[in-house]
Amino acid sequence: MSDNDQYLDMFFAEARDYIQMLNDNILQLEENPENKEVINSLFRAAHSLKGMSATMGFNTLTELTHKLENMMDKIRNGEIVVDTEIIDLLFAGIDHIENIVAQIKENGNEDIDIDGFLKQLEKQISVAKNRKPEEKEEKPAELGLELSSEEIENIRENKKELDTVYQIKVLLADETEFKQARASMIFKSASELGYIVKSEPKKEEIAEVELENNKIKIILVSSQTEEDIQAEIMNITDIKEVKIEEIKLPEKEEGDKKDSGESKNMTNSFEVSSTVRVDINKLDKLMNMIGELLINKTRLQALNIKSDGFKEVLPQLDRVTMDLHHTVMQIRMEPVGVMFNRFPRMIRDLAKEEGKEIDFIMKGKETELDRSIIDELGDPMTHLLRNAVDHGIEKPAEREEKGKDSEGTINLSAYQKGSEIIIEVKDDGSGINIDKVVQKALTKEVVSKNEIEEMDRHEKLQLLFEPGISTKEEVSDVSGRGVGMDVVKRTIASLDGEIFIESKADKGTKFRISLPLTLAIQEALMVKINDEIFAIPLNAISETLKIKTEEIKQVKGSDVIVLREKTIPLIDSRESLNLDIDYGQYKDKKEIPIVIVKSGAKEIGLIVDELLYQQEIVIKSLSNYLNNVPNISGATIIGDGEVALILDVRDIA
Amino acid sequence: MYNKDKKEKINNVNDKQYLTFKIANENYGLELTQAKEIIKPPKVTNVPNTEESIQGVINLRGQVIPVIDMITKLGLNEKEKEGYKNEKRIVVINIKEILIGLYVDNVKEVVKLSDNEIEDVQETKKGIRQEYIKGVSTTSDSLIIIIDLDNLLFSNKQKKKGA
Amino acid sequence: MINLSNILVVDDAAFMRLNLKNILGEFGHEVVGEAENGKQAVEKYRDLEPDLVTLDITMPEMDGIEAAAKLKEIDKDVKMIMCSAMGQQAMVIKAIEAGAKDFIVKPFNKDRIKEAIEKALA
Repeated sequence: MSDNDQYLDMFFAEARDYIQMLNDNILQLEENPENKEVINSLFRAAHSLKGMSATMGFNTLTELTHKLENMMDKIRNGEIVVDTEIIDLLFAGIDHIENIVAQIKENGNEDIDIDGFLKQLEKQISVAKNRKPEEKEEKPAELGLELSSEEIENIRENKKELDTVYQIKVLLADETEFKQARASMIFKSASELGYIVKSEPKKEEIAEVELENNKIKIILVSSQTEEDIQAEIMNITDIKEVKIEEIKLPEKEEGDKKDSGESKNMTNSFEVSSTVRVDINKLDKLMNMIGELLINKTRLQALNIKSDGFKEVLPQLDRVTMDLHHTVMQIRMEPVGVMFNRFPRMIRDLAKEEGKEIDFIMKGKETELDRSIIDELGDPMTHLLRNAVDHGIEKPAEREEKGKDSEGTINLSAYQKGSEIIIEVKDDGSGINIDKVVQKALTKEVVSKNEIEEMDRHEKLQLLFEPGISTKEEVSDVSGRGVGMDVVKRTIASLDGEIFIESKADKGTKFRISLPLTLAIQEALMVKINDEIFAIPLNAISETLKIKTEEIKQVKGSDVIVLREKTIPLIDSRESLNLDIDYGQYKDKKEIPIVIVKSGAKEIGLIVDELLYQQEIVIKSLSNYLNNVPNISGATIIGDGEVALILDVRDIA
Repeated sequence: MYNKDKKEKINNVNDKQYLTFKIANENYGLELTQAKEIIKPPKVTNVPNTEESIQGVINLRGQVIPVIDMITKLGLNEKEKEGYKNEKRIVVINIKEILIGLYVDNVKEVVKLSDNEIEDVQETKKGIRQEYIKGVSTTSDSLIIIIDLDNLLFSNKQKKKGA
Repeated sequence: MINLSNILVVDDAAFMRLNLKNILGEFGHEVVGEAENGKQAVEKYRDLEPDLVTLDITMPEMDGIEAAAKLKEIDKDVKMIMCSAMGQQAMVIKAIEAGAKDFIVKPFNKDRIKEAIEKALA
């Protein structure tokens, strides 16, 4: 990869973070137009983006971010007052930034015309009250670095009793040679005296970013005295001035509603621990290698070598492999917040467009999922949320008529339950009209009248996921566009997940998505069917048992058993596998092994020949040449190097 | 130009190498560039609900690849399956970025053939479908039926079977 | 109170070594050894155990940055001053991160050298 490519990748990654930060902060600014902290954050983000764009030579982007930076500056010193017009302008600015970055990424140029917008910005900036131009001299009262509430929390948690938080401003002599090298010496010195919470420029950027006005600002937590720190830093050659003052942390305050559920992992918090960006392809390779390691470890175990040394090494190997696996799994995990973060803005815009008032609450953003799953979830989640705004929440007048609050609520939450991650989208809107769904299903001949009669309410709702069932007469531009509910279901199924709906007329709708925690490596139960070994993923199994022939009852001509007052239908696994043998042979056995599996919303008793053992298996995909083999979801390699198939029990009923 | 008696042939730009193997007492060939490796057949795991000709899957250094039973695929007489027990091999081919194993009775040699040594056939023995065959070569000691792998593996699939 | 000390001078150019040796001598420091590249620097450091090392950046066999890192491994309290040319700022930053205490820029200014040495030895 050429140097330029590396810088480009870094630029895109950083730009994305800044754009997200800008969006979040403008949203906050909309609620709190006077919040100095937010304004400063915005200023700094625009400033940094400007610097990056200028370094990369992206002139249009530089000009845009420069103007936005100017605007933020004027807002900061009161020359511009924040109102809806300004907020909209700011949002538009961010959108333009996003567009230009996308243009650069896709086409390698900045061919986007934003002249009209730049003029708009310029107008706002120059119309601002003309204050006395301030001298651009170094005044001791100049702003230091501000701390966000997350940073303050961070400090509170990590600092010791006797530590003090200092704001340090260092000024380099004008004639300093190698200013950035001096700056790195300052950082070195400071980190020996305590720990650096925040700095301008940032420690990692020291080699790339120019020093603004020969100044370095650091927020340091240290047990040393002000005098000692001052002396240490002054001692460095070419330092003109060092100003230190103690920062008193504000009293702990109640987080406001927007902060509830926000995690420490928000992308705009400066983390004290260092992080690295990892190319996801490398992670995939790593996972594959660990998969191979696991397979070979299992095969080694199966060899059963009779040697003391061997017996000693094996559990060690086992432990190390498992630790390695868990660690890499954790590296691949990312908080869903990364994907959730774009939703507040999206919902705000949509609600505005449709004239609806919506309170959007997110919970559990810190819940972690495998990176690749998060990527795929983006589209389905977007679709569900847009539906909630478009079809779910009613207009304020309509809501009031129904006796509801004029402001509707949409809840997006994520949490872990056992070995699954659950994501829920809930709205208190008009609910899904089941009759309409059924009508549409009948019209499109997705189901027959008889089948409808057999269905319960829940099953009828699930019809929504069949292709072609869209109950809104016009396919509105907002959520139409060919991304139907059936695509949502398919995407989730491809991730090995499931989606359920609950809905009540006029009360609201809830979508519940469950996803397995890991994709590639799973716990499974190995069973024997007709002399072949099959694997059944543990998360699909409720329990296993052995029954006697006498326990089998008959209901409507099918075999069932009664387990703790539940009636569970039995299925011969040979039948599901379409084996060319007589089914029902199990009736001749004394003891019949059964695996109770979850198939959709039901439980089924799957009859197998033998229950073997539980094992961690590495899921291998079945060759692309074999498309969609019914009831088989993949393959795995077992102890003796042979392939065992993995049963997919979801549709086995 | 070729001369049946001479072993040497004039190297032609259109010469290609072909891997030859035996299926049910007949010689077949495929372009060497498509063949990746030849292995002794490990245990083949049956995959239910797939075509008759798909024998199952095997583990090829960690990757799961399907194995095609060539006799069934070509529609040949089943009885010919016997014999050559120790010589049976799986020829692993790479086609359209997919690895597939072909189960054959034995693998012979690599021969060089030029395009004009391969004749079209109007009708073939044993009723093999014409689109499966690229042509027939009558040079060397016996007939070599050159297989069109693309058509063989990717035209309409046949009826499904159980295990 | 000025510390007079033993210094190891590392630079691939003999002229530069001589130049620095003279300047250091004027201030009363003793140059106890010279090295032409990073590898030699490490060897001589082990033998001579000087109080301070001056390191040129671009040298054959092992450059100043690598040498700084290696010396830091041998002796975590090693005092090193990088001697760099114009345009080598990025490498100086790396060297500082690798453990160098300070740097001076060529062409040398006597007072700066004096200051840097004193501060490093303090």
